[in-house]
Amino acid sequence: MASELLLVDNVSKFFTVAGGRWGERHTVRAVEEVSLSIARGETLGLVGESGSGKSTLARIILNLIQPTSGKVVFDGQQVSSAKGEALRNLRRRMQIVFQDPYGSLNPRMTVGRIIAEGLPLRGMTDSAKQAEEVQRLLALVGLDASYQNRYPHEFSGGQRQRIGIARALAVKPEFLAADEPVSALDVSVQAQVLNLLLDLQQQLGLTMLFVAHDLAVVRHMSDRVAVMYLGRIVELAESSTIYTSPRHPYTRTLLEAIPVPDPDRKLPDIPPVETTSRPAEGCPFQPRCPLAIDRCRKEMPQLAEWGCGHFTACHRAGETT
Amino acid sequence: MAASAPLASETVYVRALTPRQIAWRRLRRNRAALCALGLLALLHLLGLFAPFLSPYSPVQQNLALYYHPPSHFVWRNNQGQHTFWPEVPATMLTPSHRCIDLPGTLAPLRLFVHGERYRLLGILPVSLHLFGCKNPVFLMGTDALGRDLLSRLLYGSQYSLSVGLIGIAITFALGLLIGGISGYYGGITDNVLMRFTEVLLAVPGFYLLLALAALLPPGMPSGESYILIIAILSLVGWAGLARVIRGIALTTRERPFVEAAKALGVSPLRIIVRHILPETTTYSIVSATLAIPSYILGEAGLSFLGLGIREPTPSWGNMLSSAQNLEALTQYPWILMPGLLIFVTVVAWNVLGDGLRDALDPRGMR
Repeated sequence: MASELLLVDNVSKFFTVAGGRWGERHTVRAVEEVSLSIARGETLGLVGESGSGKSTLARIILNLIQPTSGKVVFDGQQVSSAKGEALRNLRRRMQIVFQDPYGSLNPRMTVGRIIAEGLPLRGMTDSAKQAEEVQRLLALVGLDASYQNRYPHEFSGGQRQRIGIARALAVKPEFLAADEPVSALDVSVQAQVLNLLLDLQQQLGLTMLFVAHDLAVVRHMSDRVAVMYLGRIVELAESSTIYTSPRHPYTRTLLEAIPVPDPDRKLPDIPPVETTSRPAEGCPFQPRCPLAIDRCRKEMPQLAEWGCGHFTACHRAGETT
Repeated sequence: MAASAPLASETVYVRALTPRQIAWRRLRRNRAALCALGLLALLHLLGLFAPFLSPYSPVQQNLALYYHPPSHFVWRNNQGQHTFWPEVPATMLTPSHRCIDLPGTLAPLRLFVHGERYRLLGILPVSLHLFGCKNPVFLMGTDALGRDLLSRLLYGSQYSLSVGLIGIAITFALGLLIGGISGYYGGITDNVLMRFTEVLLAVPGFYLLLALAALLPPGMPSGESYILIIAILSLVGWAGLARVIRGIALTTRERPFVEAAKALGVSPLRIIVRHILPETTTYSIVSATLAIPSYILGEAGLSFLGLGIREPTPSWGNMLSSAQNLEALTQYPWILMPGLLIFVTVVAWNVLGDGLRDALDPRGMR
């Protein structure tokens, strides 16, 4: 891809956790051997259940966490090894909207100060200009300019998320990671925030990584979708492909779990969740997989292309369509 | 009445209270804390205007009138007529140390008299004093050298009260910065800084104070030794604070808004100052008010042992050191006055600290 903006190359992140009665340490493999790329202007959706490493991956991309191995390249520059001036420049070009609209705004700062925090970083130090820019940003995210003197606790979740978006846009980023931006919001408000993000993306030509655990939300937003399971990408395809012809059994169960407003619909056979811990060898999904064969228990399936940018990590992907 | 009904177009704009406003409202409801606040304000004002309020210089001696009891007022003049304004008799001490009035020497107590020249608030050169009299007047008696106790208490409060305030300012500047850096960066920085503070904490505080105070050259001017005492007290005091601040910083740096600032590219020092340290304000304000008494007591202790503010410059601590023997205590109880003031100040700071803690307690916030 000639116009790719972001490249994630074989990135892994292991956390060492002390647990158990004697404090023995063990390793949690949050993200493992993940590779993907995002083209300029594209939105990549990233889905997976809790603990699948979606948020960790987003944080690695933004250099909020250092990966254990692998590298992230943004517009030709290595992100994880960037320091000083180079890192500051990168930071300005990539921003993040957080999941928790309550915790991500400093409760002791006024909305105006929160949004203006990034402005000096793009060279805007004049306070009159800053005030003007804050008003412009508030209008951009659909908030009243008079809100800038209020505190975060005076706002609803949806309004706060808009403030968070305004703060991220203050530095004029090219890339925006949205880490489950609507999962903490009421369903009625979710659509508003999602549409705002879509509008902004078109208006500003943003490239986006959209993290969510809700496939319906991701479909609304994304050009391509990556499905993560226990730290690995198990399927990656155009979003229309993934919704119409998923190849990985995990993706299929996810899709079947989307509620459909049809009282006559028969409940699909969803394999029972016995364990979400990962097996010692073989495919990580194998204990829950309805199609698992002997090979799945022994050999880790690699991500392979099954035509037209559709990648799946499953030994039996060829048999299922 | 139709006139009193609000118009439909009128919007009522209710503004939510900031946490600070809520805390202030709750503090105002706490009567004890409010009294303490008022008392402390009064004490500090008295100290600020000590030269104006005190009738004499704190070092002026009246050797003939040593251990003079507090002056008493007479409501008659020399002619025996009743007066509405107190008159003060001249006094003398008998060899058996009884204070007797000299007949026919009554002189009225006067307000706003001119006396010794001084600089008001350190700037304005004036000679006006709040009150004075032709006869020696000692509202709280005199000490062993016949110095006016009231004047010495007022001047002494300048040292004794400011030690707490300045000391706490230095301690908190150090504690907040070191604790904030330690907690925010974590890792090796944290380890090095915390081991260093532990070394400091492991040394028994009072012995460290004694050792450091003993290093002061004996002939040092009291202004300089005052600064040094503050420096010593705050250098000993910051370690405990830094550890707590570090703990708060450790939890705060995981909060999403700190991550957001990091993602924006805000510099670490700015994140510490703007996002992390404000989280510690509640704790800091309370612990500062509760720590001030220990500085006042520390100064008093050092001065009491002769290692702090040195005679003839008055401080409450070194004034109290003259109340060490039983004879003085039983016969001239007024020399315990500095002790009473230390006690009142310490209690007031503690009550205020308690009140602030209740007022700032997030569990009571609505």
